[in-house]
Parts: sequence; C-alpha cells; structure tokens
Amino acid sequence: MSVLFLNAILWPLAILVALPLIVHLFARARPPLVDFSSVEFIQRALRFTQRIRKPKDWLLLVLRTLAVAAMILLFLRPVLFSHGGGRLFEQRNVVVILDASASMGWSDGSQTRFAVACAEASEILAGLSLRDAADVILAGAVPRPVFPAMGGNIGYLQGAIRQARLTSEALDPEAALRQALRLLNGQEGRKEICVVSDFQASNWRGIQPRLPPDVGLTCVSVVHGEAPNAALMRVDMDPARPLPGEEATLLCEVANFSGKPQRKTVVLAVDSARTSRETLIPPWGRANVLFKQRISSSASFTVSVSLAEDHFPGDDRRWARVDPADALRVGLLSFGTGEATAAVWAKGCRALGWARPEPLTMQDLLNPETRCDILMLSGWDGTEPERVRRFLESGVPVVWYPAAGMPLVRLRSVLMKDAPVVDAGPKLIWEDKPESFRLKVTSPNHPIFRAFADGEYGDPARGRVRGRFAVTTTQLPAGEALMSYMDGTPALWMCRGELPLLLWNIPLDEGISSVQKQGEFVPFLGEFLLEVRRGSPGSIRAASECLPGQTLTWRPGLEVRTDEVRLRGPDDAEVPVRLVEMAGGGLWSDRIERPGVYSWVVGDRVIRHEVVNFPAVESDLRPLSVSEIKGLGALTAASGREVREWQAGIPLWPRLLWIALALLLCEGTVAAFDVSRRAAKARDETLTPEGKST
Amino acid sequence: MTHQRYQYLRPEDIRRLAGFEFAPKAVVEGYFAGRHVSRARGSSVEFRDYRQYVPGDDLALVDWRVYGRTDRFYLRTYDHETSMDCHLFLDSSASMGFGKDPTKLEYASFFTACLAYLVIRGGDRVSLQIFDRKIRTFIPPGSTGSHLNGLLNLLERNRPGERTSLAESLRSSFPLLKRRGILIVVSDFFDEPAAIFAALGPYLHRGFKVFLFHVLTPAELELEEKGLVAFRDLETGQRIIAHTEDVREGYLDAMGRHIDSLRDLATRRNVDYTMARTDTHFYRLFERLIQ
Repeated sequence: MSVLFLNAILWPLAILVALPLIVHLFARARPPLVDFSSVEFIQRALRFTQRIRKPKDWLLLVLRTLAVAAMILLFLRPVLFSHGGGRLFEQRNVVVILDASASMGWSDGSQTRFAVACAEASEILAGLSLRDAADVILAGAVPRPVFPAMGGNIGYLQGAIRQARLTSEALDPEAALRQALRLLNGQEGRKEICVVSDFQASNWRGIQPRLPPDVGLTCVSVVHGEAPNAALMRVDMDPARPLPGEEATLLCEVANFSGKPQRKTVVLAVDSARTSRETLIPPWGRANVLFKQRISSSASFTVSVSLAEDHFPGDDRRWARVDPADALRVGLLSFGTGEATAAVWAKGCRALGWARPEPLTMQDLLNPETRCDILMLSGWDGTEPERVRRFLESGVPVVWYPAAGMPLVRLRSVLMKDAPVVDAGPKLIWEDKPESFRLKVTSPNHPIFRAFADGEYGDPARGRVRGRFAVTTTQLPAGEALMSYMDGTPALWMCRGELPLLLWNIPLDEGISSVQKQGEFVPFLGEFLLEVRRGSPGSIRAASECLPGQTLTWRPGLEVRTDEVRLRGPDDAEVPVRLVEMAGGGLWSDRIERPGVYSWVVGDRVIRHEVVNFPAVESDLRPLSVSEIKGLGALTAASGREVREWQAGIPLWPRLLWIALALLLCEGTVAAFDVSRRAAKARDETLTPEGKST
Repeated sequence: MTHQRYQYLRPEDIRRLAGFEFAPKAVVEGYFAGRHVSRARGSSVEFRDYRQYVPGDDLALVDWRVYGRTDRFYLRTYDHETSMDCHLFLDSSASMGFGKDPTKLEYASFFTACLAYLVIRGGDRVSLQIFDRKIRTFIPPGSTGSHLNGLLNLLERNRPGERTSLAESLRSSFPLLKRRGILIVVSDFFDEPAAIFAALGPYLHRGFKVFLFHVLTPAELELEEKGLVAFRDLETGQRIIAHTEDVREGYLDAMGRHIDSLRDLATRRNVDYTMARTDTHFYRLFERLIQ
C-alpha cells in the first residue's frame, strides 16, 4: 500500500499543522496578573477541575490539529494505492475476461449474474486512462476477444460490454486465460488480467493458471448468496437406436442443486403427446424418471423433456433425437478356427431379418467411421485389445468367442486400459468330449431368457457340444454366468463393470455342436442380440447431442445441392448461421448459441434434426470458495470499483474533506458543550445571588 | 476623654457609638470592682449562696436569722463584680491587605478601634496584639485615654506584613495574658481551622470568652469573572494561571467548606463566630457582639 501526492509542491503547508499548538501555547502564556489574598483555594479548585478540564483542552487541541492536518492533506491531493499499485504514470494493459457462460444467467429475481458482471467489467475499464490499452474477452466454450489485439478505445469496449449477450455455453477457463496471455504478449508496461465471473466450481476447480511473473491476475466474483437450482441433467434412450416396434426406455436424470428436497414434475413431449411423472429429488441429490416409448417406425423423431421453470430456466428443458434403426448392425470379425461360429452367427442374424451382419476386418476397427450396434468376435486371440476397447468404451457390446491356446490373462486385459500384452501364464485349453457336454440356463431371470420362461419357445439350452474351452469362473473377469455347462464351466459369461463384454464359450461348428441346429437357437440369438445392448451404460447414451458453442455438421448425399441447404433453429426460425462447404462435400454451421432442435432443410423438406442441449456442467451453480479463488494465484476483489481503486488509486480528498468536517463538528460540539455548561452555571448562580458562602 | 482626629475612629463613629455599651456575657476576673460578674465571691448586693461557717470566717457575714431557726452557723455569700479585660487580636498579615475601599486590614482596623473605644469608655481594660506569622506588637491591657490614643496610633501605623500563622500567634500570646476575659480575634483565618482551635484550647480552658470575626471581601467570597488570569498570592508570591470560569465552582466549594469548618468548630467549642464582609458596615458586627 502506498500514497502518492499529486500536489506535493504544497508540502511546506504542512508546517501549518503546528498552528493550533502555537495558538494554544501563546494564548496561555500571557494572562493578566491579579493579586489575590490566598491562592490556596484556587489551587484546590484547580486540582479538581484540571482532572476534567485538562483532557478536554487536550481533546480540543488534538481535534483542531487533526482538522488542520486533514485540510492540508486535502490540498496535497493524496491518492492511495494498494495491492501493487502506485505506478501511476506507467502504461497499463488490462484484459478483462467476462464470463458469458450459461451459469451467469442465474437471476436473483432482479438481475442476472451476467448483468452484474457487465457492470463490474465496465467499472474496471472506466479506471483506465488514455494511454492504457485494454481488451475484453467474452468467455464461453471458446473465448471471443472484442479486439484482435490490445487497443486503446475504452469507450468501444464498454459499448461492446453493453451489447454483449449471455451464451448457453459451458465455460472453458483455460482457453480464456490462454487467449488473454496471447493478447498481453509483447505489450509494454503493466499487464493485468481481470476475471469477472461466478467462479462456478464445476468449471474452475482444478484450474491452475500458469501466468508469467509480470502478469497479475485479479478475480471479481459476482456471486452473492446461494443459488438453488433444479436441472434436467440427461435424457437417454435405452437402447440408443431402437428397432421399429421395440419398446424403448427414455431415462431422464433430474438433479437438485440445493439444500432442500424438491418435488418436480417431469413432462415428456413426443409430437403432440405429453406424459408427466412426478419425482422427489433429495437435497444435493439426483433422481431418475423413466418413460416407456413404443417405436412405431424407423423415422427419426425428437422428444422434449421439461421441468417447471425456476430462477435458472436454461437447464429446465432438454431434447433428444431418437434415431430408430431399420436393422440391428452386427459387426462380425472372425479369425481362424472361429470362422465357423461366425458363419452361424451371420446366418442366424439373417434369419432374424432385423439384424444385419456386417463382416469387418481388424483394419475396420481402427476406422472411426465404422459403426455397429453389436460387435461379435470369433476366434480372436486378444491381440491389439485397444482396437476392441474403443468399441467397448463407446458403449457397443462386444461378444467374444476366444481362440484356443491364447493366454488366459488376455481375457482380462481387454477390459483394462493401457494393459500390457502378456503372453506368459496359463493358456486357454480346448477340451473335447466324445459323449458331449450339455448346457443349462444359470440365470433364468435374465431378460435374455424372459421369452423362454413359459416354454412356448422351447429350451434355449437344448443341444449338445462335444468340445469347449476348459475355463473356470476364477480365470475369467468378474461377472455372471448366463449359461453354463452341467459341470459348471461357464458357457455364456457376462462381465460385470462399465464395459459391456460377453464371453461366448459355445462352439457352433458343424460336427462339434448341435446347438445351432435346434429350433430354439434363432429365437435365442434374437433375444440375446436385443437384450445384450440394453442396460449397459453405453447403450443409454444419447445417440447424437451437440452443445452450445459447438458446430453442427452434416454430410448430405450427392443428390442434395448444398446451396439449397438451410439450417432452421428452434421454433422454426431461420437462425443466422453460416454454412461452409467442407472439403469432403459436407456442411457445417457456425457455432450454435441456443439450445433446442435444429433442422437441416432442403427447400421445405426437413432432412435431418439436430439436438443442441444445455451443458449439464453449468447447472451446478455452487462457486469456488474465496480461499480456492486465492488458490488460483489471484487477488480477489469484491467489485470492479475495488479493482479500479487498486490499480488507479483511491483519491483521498473526498474522505479527507469529510474527515475535516467531522473533526470541526466534533470540535464545535465539545466547545459548545463547555459554553452551555458555563451558561447553565451562570443561570443557577443568578437564581441564588447570595452565594454559598454567605 | 479627649479625642484627636484618628483615621480609624472618626467623630461620626464616636457619635454613632454613643448608643452602644460593650457588655458581653462573660465571667471575668479583675482587680478592680466593676460591672462584670466575677467568679470571686466578694461584697456586693448580689446574693449568691449560703455556706457553713468555718473557723476564721468573718463573723459579720454570719446570718443570725438562720442561726435562730436552725441553731447552726451559716454565712451569706455575695457575687463579686469586677472590671473586664478585653484582648484584641488583629491579623495584619499580607493577605489582609487584599481588597479595595476598604482593604480587609482597614476594615478590621475600623472595627478594632471602635471596639477599643467602647471598652475603655465602659471602664474596662483593653489590650491589642498585632500579628502575622508571629506577634508583631503587643500593647498590654489598659483603660485610660492615653492608652486608647496609643492603640489608635498603632493601628494607623500598622501595615500588612508577612504570611498568616494565626495558630502560632495565639500560642505565643497566651503567656502574655495574665487575666481571663474577652478574646476577640479579627482575621481572614487563612490557616487550618483545626490548628486555630487547637491554639484557642488553652484560652477556652482558662475561661476566656472568645469571639472570632472572619473578615473577607466579596471578591474572595464570590471570585469575580475575569477570564484567564494569573493569580499572585499576596503572602507567598506564588502564581497560578487559571480561568475563573473553570475554577470558580471548585473555589466556592473550597471556600464554603473552610467557612463551614470554622463555624462548625466554633459551635462545638462554644466560640462565637461571625462572618464580616467588607461590603457591610462594621456597626453590624457590634449587634453580634453587644447584646
């Protein structure tokens, strides 16, 4: 903290501070001399009155001296600098990062956090002088600087702040800070970054800004009080691509970001049909609401899920696009001895009609464009597991009929990320038995076997097998046996965990197995394929969802002229989006600002729906604590005015004027009290003129 | 009795004093028969008591009528009337020089002179002691005109002296007074009341009738408003700077306590105390003294 005097030339006036003291001493030095008979009684009285009088004299002297000192300082025009200020004549380069993310839209009933933040940012800029340079970054999913480089037109920046609009994007704080550093790079003078934000913990926690030592960071939080909120966090379809005629489950996750339980009604709208469910969400908890939806056709459609609006309406509505599949895409990949089993799987799929087997190669697994609903591997020995794990991680169920002789440890390593390929240890042994093995259902309550429960479709475990992999449950990853052989050897093993992996230990080779010849095999395969893609975390992830701040892309077919393509925003309004032709013949839009359903339109015909949803990370409005903000290596200010005062200095003359007036008022009060006391005494004596002594 | 023109005993004062007679109610002892009751039994017309005859008594005093009734010898006794000694103590310390028209000393001198005149006119004897820190002058008791002249001359020559020590002066003068009588102290009593009455103790024990006249000016009693002034003590020369408005209340309290203390002690010791303000005529003091 330092003080600069703008009129330092007037410092000699400081000698006037001694004026009251001089007057005080001079006035006391020359009283008239009076002879008196005996001063003993005066001395006694003086001893008594000095105990009262003397402090009052000193108080008056101090008050007068302070008042004179305050008035002298007033003319010296001091400016107080704090937090590293004090270099008044140095050029300043200030980048204001204005948080325009969705969470800033929370309103306390009168104004949004964003409106407060704009006012604070404008206040910070108001403290800059003509020689200073500044820029404003509107921070969202991507930082948007007002000037491409630092500029001195502060008025324009303030105008840009006034016209700034709140986005529905999630904040990327690191991108904003990087952009600010880019702007400050190479600038002369002081460099400062001022972040005006709600410092939402879900965005800012864990951020460690690495700033050069000559760049200062100041944080202005616009959060005052709690911000209770209820939000729709997720809308998922299970399965993600249902088949026509299939009953899918729509799963809506509702969160309560407050300390009190909330009862909410969740409304599902599909075309003109509306269905509602009520749920009670615990404090700081979540609740799931399920809607059953029968898929009537293979045409894609959108659903809307909403809550009653609260102080933060942005996250009270979500959309989901349902893309029914005309057929189940079953990716088939066979190796060596597994080709026979894969051929039976393909044949079974074709027999089902709604499942389409698609032969793949290991090279196809590397191609990100390769899509399938289920991946079935036959005879794979577990090499290059990362290629398969990519499918598992994207939620595609993988059915694996392993290869004989492969190390058993690979059964586990496919589930583990970055697992080393180990060939040591026991291997998977093929075992033959002339009198054949018999199968049994070990988890009859599993949905796969629901259709066979009343026996109408026969026994799915019918058929015999003369060879199998000799494996025990302890050698397999943790899971559950859906079918097993009579001796307990698992035949169909579902691994437990987030990755949907199933081990198939039922050979379907001609001459080894009779399972595929049974009439129950095709229905069993159908039920197996339908149910295996349900319930796993991947299957309930929304098929396609875009966030505000991202771009929508579409690769139309050759029959579509790209210049006829339009993108319509929510409420069928034409949105000002720019369409750019890509190298591959596709189209992409500008960054999307508002959540809602967007439609690619050719002429009057809607070709494709796109869903843009509110970023769930913005719903939890809890801010960082002050200590956490300080942990960013920043100064924390309560307002933009405070930042302005820190940097531009606080002119102290108004305060000194008030102080001087207050001191003079106090001095007058003390003096007036003394005068009134004497007047009252004189009045009392007038009433008793004889005096006490007579 | 012939009178010169004296400063403190003017003709108009003598005319006004013609109606006064100094006769305080005090039992005195004296050599000459006079108007005042003595503790000594003697011959006079005032019957006092009977007492039994003892050998050696004057047979002329035997009451034969009582003997005829009781067959016992009783003597009739009478009070002995005697002349009175009035001892005047005049404080002439520096503080008595305070005041204007008149100063306290002038006021006290007027009163003392008139009092001496009244005493001598009544045939009694009067003595005068002028003191400040100690006894400066002592004129033994006398009742003649020349004695009065000497007193008046002394008063006219008298000037304020050093600081007051009334108690010390009273202690010093006690051996000088041969006979008990009336003791009149005229002073501003700027001394400790307890010390003053301790010094008066021997006089009271011996039977003196004591009168205290406390001479003060209005300025001392009320402390005039003069603003910030430097007070110089007339006795010690000490200077004190004070604002009269600030110290007045405390001063009046202190002065009031001093006077109350003197009055209280006087009442308890059966001493007559009178406040003598210099703005009231000293004749008023005789009303207190002569009853």
